[in-house]
Amino acid sequence: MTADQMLEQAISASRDGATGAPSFAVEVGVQPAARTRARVVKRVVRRRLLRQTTTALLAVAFAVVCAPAAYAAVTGKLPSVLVTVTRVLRLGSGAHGESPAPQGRVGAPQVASEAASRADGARVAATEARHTVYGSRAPEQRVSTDAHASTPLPRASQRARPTRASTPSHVRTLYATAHRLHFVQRDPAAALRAWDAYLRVAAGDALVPEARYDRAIDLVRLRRFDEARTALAPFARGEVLGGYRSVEAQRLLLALERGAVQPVQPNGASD
Amino acid sequence: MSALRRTWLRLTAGAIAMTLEERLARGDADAIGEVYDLHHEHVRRFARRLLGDAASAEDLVQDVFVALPQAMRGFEGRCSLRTFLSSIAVNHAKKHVRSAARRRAAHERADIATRPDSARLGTHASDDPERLAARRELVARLDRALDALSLELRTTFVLVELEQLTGSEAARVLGIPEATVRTRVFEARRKLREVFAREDVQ
Repeated sequence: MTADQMLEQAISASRDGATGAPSFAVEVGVQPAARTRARVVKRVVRRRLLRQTTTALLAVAFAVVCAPAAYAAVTGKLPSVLVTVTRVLRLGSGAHGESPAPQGRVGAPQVASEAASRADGARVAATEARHTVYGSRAPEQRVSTDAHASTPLPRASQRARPTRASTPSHVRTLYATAHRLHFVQRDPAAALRAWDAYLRVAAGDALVPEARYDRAIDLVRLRRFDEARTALAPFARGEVLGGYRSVEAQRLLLALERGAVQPVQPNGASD
Repeated sequence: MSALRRTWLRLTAGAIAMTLEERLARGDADAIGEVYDLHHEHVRRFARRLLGDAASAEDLVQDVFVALPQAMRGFEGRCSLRTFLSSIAVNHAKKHVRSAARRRAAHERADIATRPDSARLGTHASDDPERLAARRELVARLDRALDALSLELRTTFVLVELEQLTGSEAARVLGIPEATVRTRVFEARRKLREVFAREDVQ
């Protein structure tokens, strides 16, 4: 028998139902077919349930995410929501400002966008004697407290800080030096000199109000209370950027008035 | 399922086919069961011929009917449901072909007795046992020879030569032109003859 003939006979035998293994009917039988049927139905039911459950969960998740977003968009709060989310996720590069302060400490003052636009038109005077009143009030914004919390001075919440306008780099360097002396090295005398050096050349710089306030703190630390009161007075009256640091200044002045911080007598003894 | 119900379903298969489509697409378990009852023997026979191994064929049958609901989304009604099931089987056969070949080879090495005597064969009880054994041996050789073919040639050969589909039907199942079907069948036959000839020489 030739190969071709054998192939044809094999094909014919296969068509007729003869199998190389036990006969089809015996080999499979009723039981395996019924088992397969049960398995098929079970898997189909499970898949359908999984699909329905997944769809329901996705719908709930969509509603949870989209409903608040839609509400925020309608009420105009979406931008602030996005900013908050960005800060939480630490995705915003400028969310915490560009601080020259060392790692771990609070950096340069954080600025609200509204205060930034207002500060451009409201420059603080370079000297302590000038009291500039600004019609607009910096928006309320809570930021991390600075290092003053560790001093005898009461911890105060920080209002919105002025934005950082573009200034020559050496002005910023002077600010960074004073900032470091004040917050890191905690050398009030050196910090005071550094604040004075900055304020002499930083006319119009957006960080001048903060520098003036921190300078007043150093005056308190050096127990130069009269000078400190003079420096804090404009803040307490709300004349700086429409109330910037006014609460802190008022509390500090009250503390000085009550004698919580005693001045040093000329002979070195305290009252 | 009783024979009466099975007969009724077969007679009304054409009338309820369209209704079944929607139910199948939704993953209706009852619809799946109905289709299984109607076509599982055909699918199993095709799978058995395609794979040459009963266990692998059973796995393929299961895969075919489990995949049916999702596959129904692409069913356009241009062929019968039976032909559509064959196409699903072809698509799912790839992963079973190798396991079937390995299992068959292992059985042969272990010389596992898989051929019952003729008294157990209800349909072949009147056949000459020797002739029956010879035919079965030929089929076994054919199963082994099919392992030498690529999956494309193998499926085309099984559909046309063993399942006896027409060229156009096989082309629809495989999603290829009819001319390609004829070419593949010709090529498959040539290779199978070579395998048979080689075995005879050995």
